Amino acid sequence: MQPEGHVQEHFANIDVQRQAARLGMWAFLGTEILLFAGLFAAYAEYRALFHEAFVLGARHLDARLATVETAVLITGSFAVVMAHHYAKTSKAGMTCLSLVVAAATGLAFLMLHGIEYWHHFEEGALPGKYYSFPEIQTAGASMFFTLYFLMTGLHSLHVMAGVGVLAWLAWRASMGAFSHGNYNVVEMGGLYWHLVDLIWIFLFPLLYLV
Amino acid sequence: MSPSEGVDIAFPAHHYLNEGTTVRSWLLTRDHKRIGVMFLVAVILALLLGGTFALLLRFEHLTPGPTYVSAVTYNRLFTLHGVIMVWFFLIPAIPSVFGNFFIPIMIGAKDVAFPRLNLASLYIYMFGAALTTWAMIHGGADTGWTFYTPYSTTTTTTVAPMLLGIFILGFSTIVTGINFIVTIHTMRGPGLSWMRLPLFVWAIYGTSIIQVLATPVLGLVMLLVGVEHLFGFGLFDPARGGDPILFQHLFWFYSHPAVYIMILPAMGVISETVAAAARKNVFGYRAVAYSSLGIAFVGFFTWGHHMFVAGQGTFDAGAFGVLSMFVGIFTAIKVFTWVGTLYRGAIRFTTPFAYICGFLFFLVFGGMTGIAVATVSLDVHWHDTYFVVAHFHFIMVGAAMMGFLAALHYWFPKMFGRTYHEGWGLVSATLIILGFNATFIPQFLLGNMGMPRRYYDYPARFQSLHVASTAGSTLLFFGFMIIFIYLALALKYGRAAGRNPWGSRGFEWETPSPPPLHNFEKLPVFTHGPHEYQGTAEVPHAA
Amino acid sequence: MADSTAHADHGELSPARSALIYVGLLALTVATYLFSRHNLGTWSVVIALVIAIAKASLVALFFMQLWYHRGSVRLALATAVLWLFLLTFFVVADVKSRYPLTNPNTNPLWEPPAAAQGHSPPQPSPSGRP
Repeated sequence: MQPEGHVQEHFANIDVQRQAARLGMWAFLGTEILLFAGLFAAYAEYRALFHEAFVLGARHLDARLATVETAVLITGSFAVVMAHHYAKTSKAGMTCLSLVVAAATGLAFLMLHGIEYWHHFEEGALPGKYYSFPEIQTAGASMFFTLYFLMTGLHSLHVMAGVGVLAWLAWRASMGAFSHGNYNVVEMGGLYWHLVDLIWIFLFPLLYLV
Repeated sequence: MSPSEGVDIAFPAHHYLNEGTTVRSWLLTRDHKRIGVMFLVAVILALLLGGTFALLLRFEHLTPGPTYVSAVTYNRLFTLHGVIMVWFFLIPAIPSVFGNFFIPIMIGAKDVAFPRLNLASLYIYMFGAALTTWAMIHGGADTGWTFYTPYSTTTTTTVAPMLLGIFILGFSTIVTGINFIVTIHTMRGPGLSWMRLPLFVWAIYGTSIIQVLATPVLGLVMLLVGVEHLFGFGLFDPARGGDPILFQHLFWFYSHPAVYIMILPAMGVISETVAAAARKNVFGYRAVAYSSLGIAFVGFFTWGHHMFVAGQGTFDAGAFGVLSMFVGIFTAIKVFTWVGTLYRGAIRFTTPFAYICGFLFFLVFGGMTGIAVATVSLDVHWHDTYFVVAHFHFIMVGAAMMGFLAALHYWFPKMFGRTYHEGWGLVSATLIILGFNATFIPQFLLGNMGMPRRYYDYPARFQSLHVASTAGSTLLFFGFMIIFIYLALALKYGRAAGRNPWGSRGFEWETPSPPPLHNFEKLPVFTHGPHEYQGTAEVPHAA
Repeated sequence: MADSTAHADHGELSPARSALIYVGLLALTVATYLFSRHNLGTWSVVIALVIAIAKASLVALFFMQLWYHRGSVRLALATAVLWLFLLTFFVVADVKSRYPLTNPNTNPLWEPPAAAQGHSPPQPSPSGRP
């Protein structure tokens, strides 16, 4: 990628290219939202069917840790916004640093989540046929934890992908690839990271707080 | 047949097919036209494979009880027939072949918005197809293409690799959809407003919206079934409080709009070919354009009509029954506008026109039976019988396939610069239309009499109708074989077509046949809409 | 001629404003946690979702710059969210309007699986009796 904005041959000009990338990325984010939609629908159904188990299950999860995780992801989003700003103003060093910070928040999130999962493994609060948590045995208890693992698991996979994207962008930034004429890719990667944050903003209350 | 018959037409010296002739130049191409051609080869192979399974199924039904294959094999056959025809043929057939080839040309662009992603969509398709074929050979699934739980989560047949193959294929669909949406939004040529877009572009735009919104839900549900199959998570398992109907909700939320992914592009093709066949301005352009969006959106509100007898709640049953009727309105609008375009047009009875006739008949007939099965009380009788099978084959094979064949015959001269034998074209169109009727009208009767679908065995009183249906399917087979033969011969020996053998006023006919590498000698500026013929008296000549 | 509505940018997000949004998001996060510590019945869910929507709006409108970009990208997000509601609505309406005995929580004969390590639960007998 050249340091100056490079217009690909089939686009009329750089503005069209940038606009196309933005619309394409948002269309892709739309597909990610629809991917999680099925799980949210499943959650809504099973919560309607097994209200007590869901409330008990949510109470059992570590809401304080999850609040910290939320704050961590939001910090990552802020870092990505700053990275976009620095890329646009041609500050390669700060761009790289912001992206590294954002990727680090992703890793921190995954680690905190891993701690949560570990607790659940130890106490037997596992999905489906592996569920053996003695404290909650009401109807639908295993369903709550199945959904918990499926939703946070799929989300964590997306966080991992996001960390990969941010790390790659940080590396490119360190090579001086981004500047005022060429920062679109940082914006696109940033949009993906914000989506990961957006999904968590809904997972957090639904799984941990209510 | 063409007005300039007898005049030798020069074949262009440089075009997209001979610009770079190495294997590498094809496999690593970013040219949307070459990608379209490669998709054509792929979907034809899929059609042959899926069609072979269909013939095996029909021949098995010549007698009640065992005829050639075992019951398990029969179950595998209808599963594979469905999986291949739905995902590897019908969904990509028109968008990935003709959409890829013609959208940029029709809007005056050099390529789609993301050419490398376009190539990726081809390879993702092939990888998904290869994986599914492998699963097929290694003990293939027998769940039906609908993979209903709890059977799909507990069966020992190879469900997981097939689910993965379909999951991967879904990405091909999503990528294509994103590409077309962005292309149409951002790359229209100077002067090309939304209301001057060719109706085929509108149809593909609507299709792309469906692809982008629906396919992720399929991806998720395939993933969930695979996870439950492999790890026993119990999301759909009643013993753990799970709900098998949830699977059906998630599955049909995609799969009903999926059938609009199949039919909407065919409708776009018909809009193009009807105007060209009648040499007349499109009647009700805006109605057709908006109805394409209408179908795309309203198609999402109807999925529960597949679940009327599954045990879903009464609110859903009632709501979905009513909402399903609305889609018929948009289809009816289109049928009236097509007929209005043909009315008092200067029609020449060519092969594409034969397919238009077939399409109109099958769409109306199949569509009305769709309204019939959308009526909850009637569907209680017809659900899971051959009536439903006949209904959806009328739309998917009758209408969508006619659209594909119309597209193939209308655009073959543009894509490859050669004409095919028109006489054989009409012969095969006749065979296919007659064969189709002979295959599927008996199935309406069978279904109404109570013949269940996906049943290996049946009572002897149904046999004569089954034999009639199988006889019809052999006519279909011959019709298709003839098409492949004369098109293959035309590729090598066909007469040069010239820029505009049909005398059509569609935008794509302004450029040479085959088009040059970057689509145009000079990027077009648009001063009017497509298919603007100045009255039927003046018939544009082929150039 | 590209889509003229899509690139009518109206200003852009300044670092100062984004820092403000960041603090606002953290504040809302703490707020939702604090609210959740009280049992307010149905209102708990409502408040939690309202705060989540507020946070999501801040991220989408400002961090993702939808406030500044008009046209098709806003429509893309709105459609996706609407479709999520469409799916969820009909799924929940289904379970709420089913014949009650078909749902496990209202069927007096249904029992949750036994809490055994790795054992599969006893299969429900066809008659529904334990």
